[in-house]
Amino acid sequence: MRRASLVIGTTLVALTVLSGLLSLVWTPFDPVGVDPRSALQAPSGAHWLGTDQLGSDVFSRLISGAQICLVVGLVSVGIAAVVGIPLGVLSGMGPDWLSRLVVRVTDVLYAFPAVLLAILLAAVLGGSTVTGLVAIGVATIPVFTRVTRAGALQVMSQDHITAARVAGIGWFTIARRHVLPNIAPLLGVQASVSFAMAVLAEAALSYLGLGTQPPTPTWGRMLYDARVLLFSHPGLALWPAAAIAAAVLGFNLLGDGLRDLLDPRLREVR
Amino acid sequence: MAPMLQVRDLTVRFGRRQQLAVEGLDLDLDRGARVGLIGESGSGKSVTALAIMGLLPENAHVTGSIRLEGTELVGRSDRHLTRLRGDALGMVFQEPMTALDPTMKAGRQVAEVYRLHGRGGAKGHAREAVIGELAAMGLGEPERVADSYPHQLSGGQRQRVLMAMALANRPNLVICDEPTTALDVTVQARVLQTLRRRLDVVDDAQQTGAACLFISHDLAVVASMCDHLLVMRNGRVVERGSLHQVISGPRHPYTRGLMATSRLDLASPGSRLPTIEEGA
Amino acid sequence: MLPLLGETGRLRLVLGRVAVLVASLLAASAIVFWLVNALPGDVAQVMLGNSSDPASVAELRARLGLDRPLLVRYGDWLAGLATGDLGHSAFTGEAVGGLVARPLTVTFWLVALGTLGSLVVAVPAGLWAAHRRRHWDGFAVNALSQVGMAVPAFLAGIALVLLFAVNLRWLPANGYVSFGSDPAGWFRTMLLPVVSISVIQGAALTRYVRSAFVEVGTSDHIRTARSIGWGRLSALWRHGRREASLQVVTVLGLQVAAGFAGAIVVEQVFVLPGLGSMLMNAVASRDLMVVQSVVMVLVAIVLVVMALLDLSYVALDPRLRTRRDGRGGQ
Repeated sequence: MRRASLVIGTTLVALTVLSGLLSLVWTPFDPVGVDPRSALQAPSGAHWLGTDQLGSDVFSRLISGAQICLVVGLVSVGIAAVVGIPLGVLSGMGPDWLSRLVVRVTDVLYAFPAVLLAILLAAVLGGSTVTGLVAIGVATIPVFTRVTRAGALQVMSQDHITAARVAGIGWFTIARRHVLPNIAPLLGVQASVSFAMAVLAEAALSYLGLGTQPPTPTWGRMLYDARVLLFSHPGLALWPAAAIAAAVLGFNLLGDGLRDLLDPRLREVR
Repeated sequence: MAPMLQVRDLTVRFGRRQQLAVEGLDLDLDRGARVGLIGESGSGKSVTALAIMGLLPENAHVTGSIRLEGTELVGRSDRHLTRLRGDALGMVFQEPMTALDPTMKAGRQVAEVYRLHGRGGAKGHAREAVIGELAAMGLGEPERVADSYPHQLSGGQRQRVLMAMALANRPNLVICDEPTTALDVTVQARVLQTLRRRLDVVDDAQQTGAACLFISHDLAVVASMCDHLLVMRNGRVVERGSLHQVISGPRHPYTRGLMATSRLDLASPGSRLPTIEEGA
Repeated sequence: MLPLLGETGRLRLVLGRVAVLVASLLAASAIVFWLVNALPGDVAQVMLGNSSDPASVAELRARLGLDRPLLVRYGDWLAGLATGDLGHSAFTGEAVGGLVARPLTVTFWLVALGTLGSLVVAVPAGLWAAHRRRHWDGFAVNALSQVGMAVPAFLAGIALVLLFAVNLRWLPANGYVSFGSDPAGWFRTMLLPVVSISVIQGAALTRYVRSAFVEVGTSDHIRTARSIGWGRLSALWRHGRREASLQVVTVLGLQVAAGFAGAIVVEQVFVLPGLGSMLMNAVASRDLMVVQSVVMVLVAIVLVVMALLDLSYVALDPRLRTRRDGRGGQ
């Protein structure tokens, strides 16, 4: 089962990444091309997955949609890691008051899901890809802080760290040489799971019109557009839905598989 | 006459890699017998105990035969074993800090043992029985203990509560897995004494006390509790016999080593002497 | 329910948590205010359109109070919040407090019933998945929850509409009837939105419940419980549920936060007149006061719920061991 999560997860993630890369160099049709004469066609040799109500090629839009999904995922997880990890190290290694303060602040941030942050930003700046990825990134910060903090606390309680501190080695060196390498695998798992959450949040934001704006193809927007044609052309909703589910499932399973690989506690042989 | 507990060729493997934990173990326990199972940690003692109780994790593969009063236990459904556990079979665990439910008062945990096997009777009666059992375990303030959460009790008190749970329904067989290892030496001696006394309480029908399989890595402790001894190493029994035989003439080099380390123990003040008179 | 603390200890604990809550609310209000007001972008300009003349833009800025210093505006807003005054809409001039009341009840019931529903799904499913985790059925529950987590809430909503409203014609696809005017109608319009939130939230919660029970299941006292005659499942439930619930309670606050986020989207799918719809309209028309006050109301509810859960946590654990680090990720 452990193996299965890893294999399926890696496959789905690879599929998403490859379609994103492929769409950079080649798509069968222009993904933002509009051709009212060929609107709502059934799948055919030319249009593999058919066309939408504006006559755009669904397959081209689908693989191009992976681009936004991956960019938003990468940048937002990057934002969360760059801010969240130092905060976590600080609260895991710093004095007690600082540690408490960071916990309180992350608790407040937990009350701001990405959708709420995006609404605040979009009210001033309007919806855009940047609005979406900033909102998702900031909403993901507290998770990284918490995971880093827990890991750092655990590492800091080990004997050889105590010895190093007694020997007068500075905290920055300890963080760089002992704490970060030790919690890197944990953070890798978290990055994968957070990536999945980011893909999900991005889909919700484009659905609401708070994220990436048309005509740039995104899976959430494709779903939004397909919603009025659900009964006559269910395929239009099916493909972006499947793409979202595959990407989210992929990153979640990858994270799960990595976690099981790393966690010897789960092996359970006494 | 067949022994009360008869274990034949017990083999336990773990996980997909079939890691061997116990191999080809034979063991007979008569009514009222006291048998010690000794060996270092990882030698398969605890796995043997859990196999008899049917409490091994689900990834364990058990082969061989375990018969209690003539009934085969290996391969039995958990539902069937559930009826035996806490009634005919009792077990005292080694972790007094963690073996009790931290969110439930001690008295209720003991009362459950009665209730589960239909001996609760009226509510007030169960409470009386619990207090009585706790008092018999040498607990000075049984009411206060019954109304306490485990973290409010000392290690020795918790161990006595665990013993009360294991012995509440007067089981014919009690398995003790390092019951005193976590306690300090003076408490250890008193808890062992109580345990011995409670095991010796004569059953009206059988006219014997409870049989006991006593597991420890400490020869001195086993010697004070048992008259027979099995020595385990790497999942196998390497030596067996009466306490006197094993102590006076150990044949296996491992047993000899064990004797030597336990003699070293003798030098430290406060520890119990593994005298032959006491066990015999 | 607090067995260890005396009357004063209990009071001190509650007061301490209330102090933290007040500080959190202040911090949250600062985040909301500065995000909306300190970002570049002239709202008056946007509201009037690009071709408007500077004089009318300046007039609108003055009318909205945008020409005053930020700190003064923050202070005013905060003082208003403290007295229950949520400000006024930039367009209609109506008090936001009055506008918020009806949508709030819609969203409140959506999230409350959705969270309740997710518990109803997750507790049995998670317990079963933990109990049977080495068997195909436990694996199946786990796999199903994994798939459920990969489905966006609005997609679940759309699928439910397709099935129950379009194919089977049992329930309305969208619209809203107030409870006061037609309780049965209210139930029929709320059922699908609540179910779609329950299913999606329930999937994530199932995984938390499962891992909590798996962890508790390996603990020594569960083995003790089995040694006195409890079956595998009943030992896990009887002697594991309190400890497991401690872990689940720590993520429940996040579940409520996620529930509000989900509600905003689900309200769009089902066209419910809740806070989400109100917010989306306000965003579209750049009605900043409505946006910042409504977001603040939602965040405040989440923070209050988190505080209440923290206190219930103390009541659940007789050892009073505060394991704040147990709070799980999303």
